[in-house]
Amino acid sequence: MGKSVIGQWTWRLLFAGLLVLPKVAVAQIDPPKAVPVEAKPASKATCSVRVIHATANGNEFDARLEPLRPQLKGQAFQSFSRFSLIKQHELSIAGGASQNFEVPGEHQGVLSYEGRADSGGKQRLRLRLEIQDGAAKLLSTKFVINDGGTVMQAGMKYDKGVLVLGITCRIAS
Amino acid sequence: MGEPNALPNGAPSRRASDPATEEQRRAEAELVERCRGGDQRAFRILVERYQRRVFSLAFGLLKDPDEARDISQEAFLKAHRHLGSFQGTASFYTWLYRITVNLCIDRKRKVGRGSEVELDERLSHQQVGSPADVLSTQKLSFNPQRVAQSSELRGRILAALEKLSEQHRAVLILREVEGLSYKEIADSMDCPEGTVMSRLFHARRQMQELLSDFAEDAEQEGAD
Amino acid sequence: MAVADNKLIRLFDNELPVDEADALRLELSEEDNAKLAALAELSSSVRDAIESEAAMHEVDLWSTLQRQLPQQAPAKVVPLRRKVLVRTTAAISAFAVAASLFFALRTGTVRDSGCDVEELEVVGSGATVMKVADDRGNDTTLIWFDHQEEDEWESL
Repeated sequence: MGKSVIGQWTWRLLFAGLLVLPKVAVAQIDPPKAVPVEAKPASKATCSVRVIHATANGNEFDARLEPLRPQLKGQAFQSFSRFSLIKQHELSIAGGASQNFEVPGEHQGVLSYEGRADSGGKQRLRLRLEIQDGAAKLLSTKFVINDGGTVMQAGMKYDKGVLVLGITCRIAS
Repeated sequence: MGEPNALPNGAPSRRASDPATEEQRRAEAELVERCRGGDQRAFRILVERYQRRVFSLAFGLLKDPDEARDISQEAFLKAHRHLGSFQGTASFYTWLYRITVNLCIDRKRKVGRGSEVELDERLSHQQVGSPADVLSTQKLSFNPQRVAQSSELRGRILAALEKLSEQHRAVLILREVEGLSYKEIADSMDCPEGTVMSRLFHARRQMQELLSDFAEDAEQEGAD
Repeated sequence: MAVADNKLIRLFDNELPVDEADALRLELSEEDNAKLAALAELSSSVRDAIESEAAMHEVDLWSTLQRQLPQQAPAKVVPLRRKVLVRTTAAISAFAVAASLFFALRTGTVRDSGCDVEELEVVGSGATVMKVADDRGNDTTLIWFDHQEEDEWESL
């Protein structure tokens, strides 16, 4: 009799274990902290995309790039001495939508706002940046940044230098 | 008119040097594969096979032999560099033409000589041939055979070509000079076949108009 | 009744199915034939003008190309069957570099700068994700992409 009770509990525990195990496994792979809050499609993002030309010819630093001076004058760009703002695109992107912007060299930039991704008490945005050359996709990256945060992309060759994109996005009400 | 149409000079049929047959395509695909493996002799064969045609295309688009030579060289270099990304769904020469056309258009834009697409690109091929815009029945008042011998005639034709937009000129040259099919032109220009038809129609129509003045001149010269 | 110009042009360019072309030829009016003749004249004039002019110029590209070819990066010549693999490898490498740099450059959590790169796919030799400091001592994420123009002509 006692043996059968133990047997019943063993089966119950085993069954409960089977139910819990997948959740534990998922938690191991993707801990709750890392799981971003799902996109809130109602929001909208306003993004400022600065298209910057960095070259080694000259020493001018475009005054309009002052907010990015520390980054552009840092080690990552030490082989460049001249920075000029080619264009600044102001994009307003609805949740789940994309906006295109022109990238010199006949390339096309596409910035998509995939929605809010708040976590750790911070308001955050999930975005996707693509750089296209005609039908071909040269770069595609998805990232999450804090509200008002900046991400930079560089390396596209252009006119004896490189292009740098400075992307700053905010959540719009 | 019951007699089947015998085109006076024949439609621009595929040219003898075209790698049109399956066998030629396969041989070409083998050459491309060898190039990918770093075989420069294979690439040399491709260069020597297509250099004249690439040059003619670039020359037709740019009208400057030195620029055309530069572009042809650049096109082959680019083709060599990007052979790894050539998917082979179109023929090598179509791909090579695309590179050449793009380089020529880029070059024109860079030197500020690019002309806008003057004609309505949005016209679909169904609209082509509307009563307001029909093909001319007027024959040119010079013997086309004379073109080959007369530099003045050639100059006038090239000048007329120059007045077309890059896209219209490219489509016309790919069809008339290279003898490509609509599908091949569409591949070379990265546009739908309907656009090719539309551009070709308008390019021809415009050329007929531009050369109709020429025809009047020739008539007058003949009268004198 | 005259044949529509679009059909006439397709007939002229050998772009109609054989049966349709044969049937159409039986319907051609004098005006249609005149249009076809004008098209043929234009065609041969353009062809002769360009070919004759182009033929006057020497074209020997190989001698110059030969000198330039070895300077081409051999890594860019990738057999078709390896293409997918290389792309994947490039993406994975980018991830690996990104991850290693995040961990190498940061002692704490990788989300300190406020930017998490969740996906990164590039065409070419790879990409690097790094942190650059801003004026407030915070880090800005920089995605450096080694532009190789690899896929510029890929869509064929």
